[in-house]
Amino acid sequence: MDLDDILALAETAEPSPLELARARRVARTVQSAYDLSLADGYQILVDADLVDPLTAKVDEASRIARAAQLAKRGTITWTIGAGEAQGHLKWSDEMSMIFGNAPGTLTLTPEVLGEFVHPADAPAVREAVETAWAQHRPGDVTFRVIHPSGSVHHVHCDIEILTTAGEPSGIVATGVDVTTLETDRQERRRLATRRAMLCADLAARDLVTGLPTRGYLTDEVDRARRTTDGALIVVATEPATLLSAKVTDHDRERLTSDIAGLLRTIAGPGPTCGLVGPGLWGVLVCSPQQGADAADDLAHRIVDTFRRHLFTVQQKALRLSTCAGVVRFTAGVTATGFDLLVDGEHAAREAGRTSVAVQVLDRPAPREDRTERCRSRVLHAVATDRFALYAQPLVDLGLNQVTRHEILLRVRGDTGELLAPWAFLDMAERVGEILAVDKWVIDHALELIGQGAQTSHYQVNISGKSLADPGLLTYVTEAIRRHRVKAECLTFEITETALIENRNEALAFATGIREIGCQLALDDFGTGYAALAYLKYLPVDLVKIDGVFVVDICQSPPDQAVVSKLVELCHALGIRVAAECVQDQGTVDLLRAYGVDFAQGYKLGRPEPLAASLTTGPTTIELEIRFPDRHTALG
Amino acid sequence: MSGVDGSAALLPEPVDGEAAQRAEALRLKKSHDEEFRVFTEQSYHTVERILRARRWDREAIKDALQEAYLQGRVQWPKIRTYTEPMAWTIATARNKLLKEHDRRQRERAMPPEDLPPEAKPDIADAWEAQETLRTWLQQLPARQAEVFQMSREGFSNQEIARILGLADISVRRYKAAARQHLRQLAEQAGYTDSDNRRRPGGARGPR
Repeated sequence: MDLDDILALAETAEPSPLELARARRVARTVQSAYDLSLADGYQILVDADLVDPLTAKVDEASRIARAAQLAKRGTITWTIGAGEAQGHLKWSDEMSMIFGNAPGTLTLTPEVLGEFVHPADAPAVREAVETAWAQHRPGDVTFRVIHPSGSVHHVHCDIEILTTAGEPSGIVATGVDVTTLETDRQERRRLATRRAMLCADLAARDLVTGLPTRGYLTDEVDRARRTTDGALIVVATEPATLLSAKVTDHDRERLTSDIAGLLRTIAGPGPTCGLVGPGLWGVLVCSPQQGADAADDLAHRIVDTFRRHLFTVQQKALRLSTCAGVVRFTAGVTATGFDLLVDGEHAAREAGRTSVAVQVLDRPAPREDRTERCRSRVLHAVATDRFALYAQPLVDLGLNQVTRHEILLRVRGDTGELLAPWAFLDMAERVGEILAVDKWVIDHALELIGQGAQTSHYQVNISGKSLADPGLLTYVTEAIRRHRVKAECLTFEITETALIENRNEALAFATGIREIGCQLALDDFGTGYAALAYLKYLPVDLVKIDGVFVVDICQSPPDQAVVSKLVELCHALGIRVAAECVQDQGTVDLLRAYGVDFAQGYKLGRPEPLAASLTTGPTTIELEIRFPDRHTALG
Repeated sequence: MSGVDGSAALLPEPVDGEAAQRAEALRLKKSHDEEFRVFTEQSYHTVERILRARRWDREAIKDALQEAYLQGRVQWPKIRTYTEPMAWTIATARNKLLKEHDRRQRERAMPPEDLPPEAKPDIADAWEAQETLRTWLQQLPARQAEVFQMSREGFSNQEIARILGLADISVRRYKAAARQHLRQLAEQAGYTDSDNRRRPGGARGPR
């Protein structure tokens, strides 16, 4: 079947009985309305033109202008004058008004007309007219008109060629103001773009396990405790046997993701599960009907299954030693989501210490106890050096080599295993003891850097909260001097997980740290509390774009928009840009094309123990550039 | 007092003049009523089809038609003498729609870019063919769609130019553009093979 067949088939269509009835009804209604007007003696107003359109004897231009007038359209006609080469240009009253002029106030010339057309649209208008004239073919154009008052209107014109005795003799444009249509269309286009660009909240999901993150679960617990009874289960898992050194980060991620999968299966669809720390799992059970025992049962079931299950790491079976803590809460309890989480963690740790499977707290712990416990945990960790420092390379995308390292903190778990610090740092930040941790990091990092060759550039994290401490600048300055570190080799990254507590003090620190030669960076930019205003008044040298904008950037137009424009913005302000979480070559290429200065991610280099990466000297740092990038750098 | 008087004056009996005049006026009205009824019932579908070639709201079309026919009835003694009363009806209803449309300044129907992609099964009957054509026509520039539909309804190029207020040489161009445009849409929807006309020298050969 093709168009001709469809046309032919449509031709055979007869009006349906329904349609026939409709025509009869119209005829009847019209007739009775007419009869009624006769009977009641009133006249039906006829505003239509009473001229037979097929026989009226007028020239083409007037005929078109008249038809346009009846349809409230304006016309501009241009006819070749017999004598003058200029021709004759005139517009109808309606068109004059469309262009914002009272009828008859202007003598129309091409120049006058041109002045009303928006400069950006003038070439398009000229081209449309010239093409129509050259090809003897009707065309159309939509353009903006600037009224004498300055207001801008959208006008659509149909352009046609007039003929006299078969020869082209002029041009007529029939136009109408389409401003509202045009703004509607723009709005529709905008809404479509918005729909396409709107993303799911990626930050709420952990990248490896797909489970909700600590922040998300904390919020969920907080929401639940305001309205319902329930319980929070915290499950602590760790390998029963120490993993061999050959186990890679990738294997660990696989294991974590396996555990997450199993946890989800046991918990089922009801409870909310989340990853609340390395080897720490939270399960929120809201069970006003089932009673508090349901949560205890679930906790036991999880622990039993985890203990019996054989996980595999590098083709070897692995058991997890598992225990759990349960903290029950009633609707309207004053303890926050974070408080409940801390209590749950504490209960789980107690269970591990006393070798029971599940430790149950009937109610949240008293506030003072909890705060005191957290404080002493942090301070104890600092005092007993339960930390280690790692360094992860950053690649300068312009030079295509590693020129910087970020110093990362690792926290030693109860069994001595080194864990990612985010859960620990969250706690330290919330109980206000992050300064002690930051000072530990600064002191030990600078000590190690000072012992090394200082060939790289080092980036050290400081919490936004610690900046409120007036002694921090002195502490840093003193540490730099004591460990004989070159100040120009250091950048301090302000992590924006917590609000900068004291703006004035932060500004003083930032200014001071740059005066002694160090640089300043904003970490996790775009997700934390860091406002754009910081870029204006904090003397920032580097902005690190948060990983949520980077991990999926190749497939995500919204991320591309954010990153490319952020780079533009930063460069305009004299700030360099780094991207976190770079995972593949495609991302590297894209980031380089956007002008991103540094890239950091597992693809480019995993974190290594700091001492090792320093003592091996500069040669190994260069060897770490494993990716075959040279060809992409050249073209 | 209208044109009816003239014909009544010609009647031979002046004595009974008044009654005869009234009888004659009544007879004339009756005949016009009948004539107009036939005209309406016969032209309605054509006029409606032409107006529906544009993306106008169906209800708006109905209202405009109703009004145009009512005014047509009021002025029928005059309009019945036109070359083609339907031409006047089309022009009148269309002008009403254009003005109404401007006044409200918004597109009631869906804009072409938001139309769902064609996913029609085979066109089985004349009605489906007509509906499909209409959805395609409504995606065309308004002038092309109107010109094309009018030519399908049997209007000549000159008539179309006069009814729609177009330049004489434009009609042919609009029609050709419309056909080309429609063919594209048909091909996009997968209607590419002619099924009853096998072209003898066709590039594809028999299959």
